[in-house]
Amino acid sequence: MGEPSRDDVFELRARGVRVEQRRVREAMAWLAFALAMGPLIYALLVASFVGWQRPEWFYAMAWTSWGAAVVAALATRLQALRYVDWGACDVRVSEAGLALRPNGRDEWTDVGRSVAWAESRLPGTAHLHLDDGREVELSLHEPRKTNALLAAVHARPRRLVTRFRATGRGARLGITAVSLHVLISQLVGKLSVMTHLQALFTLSSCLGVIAIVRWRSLPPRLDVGNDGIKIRRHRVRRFISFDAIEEVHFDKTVLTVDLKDDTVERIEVSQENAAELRAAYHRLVDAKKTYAHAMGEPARVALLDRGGRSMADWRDALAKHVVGGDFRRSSLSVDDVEAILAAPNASAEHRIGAAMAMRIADDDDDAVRRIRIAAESSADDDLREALLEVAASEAYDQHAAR
Amino acid sequence: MTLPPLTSRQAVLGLRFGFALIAWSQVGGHLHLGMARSPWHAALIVAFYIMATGLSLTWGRTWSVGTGIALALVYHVFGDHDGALQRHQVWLLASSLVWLGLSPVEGWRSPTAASWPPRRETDPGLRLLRVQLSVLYAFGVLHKLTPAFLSGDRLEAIAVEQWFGSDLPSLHVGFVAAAWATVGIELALAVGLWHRSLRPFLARLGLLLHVGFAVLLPVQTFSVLALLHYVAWCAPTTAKRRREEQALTRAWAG
Repeated sequence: MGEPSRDDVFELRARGVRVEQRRVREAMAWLAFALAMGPLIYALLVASFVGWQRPEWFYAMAWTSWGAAVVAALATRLQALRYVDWGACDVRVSEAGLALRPNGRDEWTDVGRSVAWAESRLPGTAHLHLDDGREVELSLHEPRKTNALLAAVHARPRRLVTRFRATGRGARLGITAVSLHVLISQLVGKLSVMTHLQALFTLSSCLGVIAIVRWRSLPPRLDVGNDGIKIRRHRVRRFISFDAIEEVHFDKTVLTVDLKDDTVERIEVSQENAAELRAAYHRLVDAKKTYAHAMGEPARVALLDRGGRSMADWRDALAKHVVGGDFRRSSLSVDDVEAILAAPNASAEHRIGAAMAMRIADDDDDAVRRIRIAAESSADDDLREALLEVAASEAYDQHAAR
Repeated sequence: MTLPPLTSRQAVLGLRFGFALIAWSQVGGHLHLGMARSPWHAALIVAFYIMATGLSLTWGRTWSVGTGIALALVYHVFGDHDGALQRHQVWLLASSLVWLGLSPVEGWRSPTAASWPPRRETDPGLRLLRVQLSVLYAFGVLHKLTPAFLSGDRLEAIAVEQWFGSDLPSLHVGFVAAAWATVGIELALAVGLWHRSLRPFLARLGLLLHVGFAVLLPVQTFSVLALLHYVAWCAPTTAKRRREEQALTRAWAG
């Protein structure tokens, strides 16, 4: 059995590995959705632009389509579609992600970019949750191995990333309601006497309702960092600093975040995501407490202000404060800079400035590693990208060489 | 100016009284045992009166749901007998009472922590009434998207029937504008009430619209029923208002 090494690479051997796959299931779900709504949309489109005279084959087509939709929806529940069985494998967990090496092979296969969190539901098994929301089930048969793996995953100072599965309840309800309504009150007789404008309005309303229901039932994504949370629904992302959060409430499958600006963020997940949501809630509460008790910014933090300067000018100004030849001019110590970089309640500008100062003062792998750790701990995408950019930049080499 | 702030229970209570009054005046005035053609009909009439009495005098949700179901049955069973019972506001009142039954009102008289636990979510009943109001306006728009209405002819005919008789002044352009404005306002109300910043303005616009309907057209009951739905928008929708309600509850509970 492997132990966490200096490079944070953890390896072990599992007797069985099953990797969840989502693409086929998601495709089946979309197919079910299209089949369920197809007859309705077809009829409304024809009524809107051509004029509706119900063809004799319409109901046969509609019932066939709805039947196929039910079959496709049920097929998404099949276990055979849910997991890919890898058999006995070597497992490697590292900063680079999760890699598997099946029996009899030499090369490693990357399975996921990163492991977000892990749990053990049964003794001797471990479930790893990847950043992209997939789940990997490991049969280890030894609680000692399981504990070591969970400890290795959770020891990394990294934000918690979740990606819940769609609840589907709202979507099912909405689609059923809209379908039944249109079927009963519109398709049977009324569609043929509608004006084009009425049919177009009905079509727009139905599509609007479907879009709202679909959006409301989309699986949200919740990231919990040490500086706040990020909620992502479809393409809408929102970073919320812990400063802006008033209260957090959790009830089995619902997480409610009351914000100080009188708005509420509500995340409702299906029962199968309850464990993941609970983990996110506990992480959120812990991180919020840590954030509240985090050390404030040192008085000299203003030296890290960008002040509207260009990146090059900002870098040069920081260099004067951190590595001035005269110790009296070196007004920011490396300890100060490290503290600001690691402080979750420091402003993004100051943390980026601190990262730049660290690269200038101590341009070695350790500084880069610390900056990456700070970046991976943040739920703020913009800050993380900026910090990673600082860590990867070659512009600091010249300062280090001076 | 914003909508008058009410607690969820105050809103439910107000709606309950309002719906009870409409049930008595709109249905109670037309429904009597002489209309019964079978024992089942007589039982339904008696059931309606018992439920409506319970709705008026008690706080139980059962009475609200029961009255709603009884009204729906009355609509279908006695609609042919008396046209007043087959108007769509009877059906609207029935569904409103069923939705309202999903929101508890018990405990408003004795606000202790045990009987009045703080609520975190908007009441489902009030939420459904808000949805119903939007659907109402959406169907209002749908029914008006006809050449007869959009050309102003329908409004002109109503004006002839209700106000001017054969002395209708030459105001056709005004009727066309009024027809399109009505459709635009109803469409805005169907969607815009859900937008927090638009809500105060649109709520006032909606009130004016329904007061106008009640004064100018013979649709008083429907107008009052639609206006009552606006009370559902006065209940807390924000975290701050919920927190205030919880603080009030805790303060009263000692």
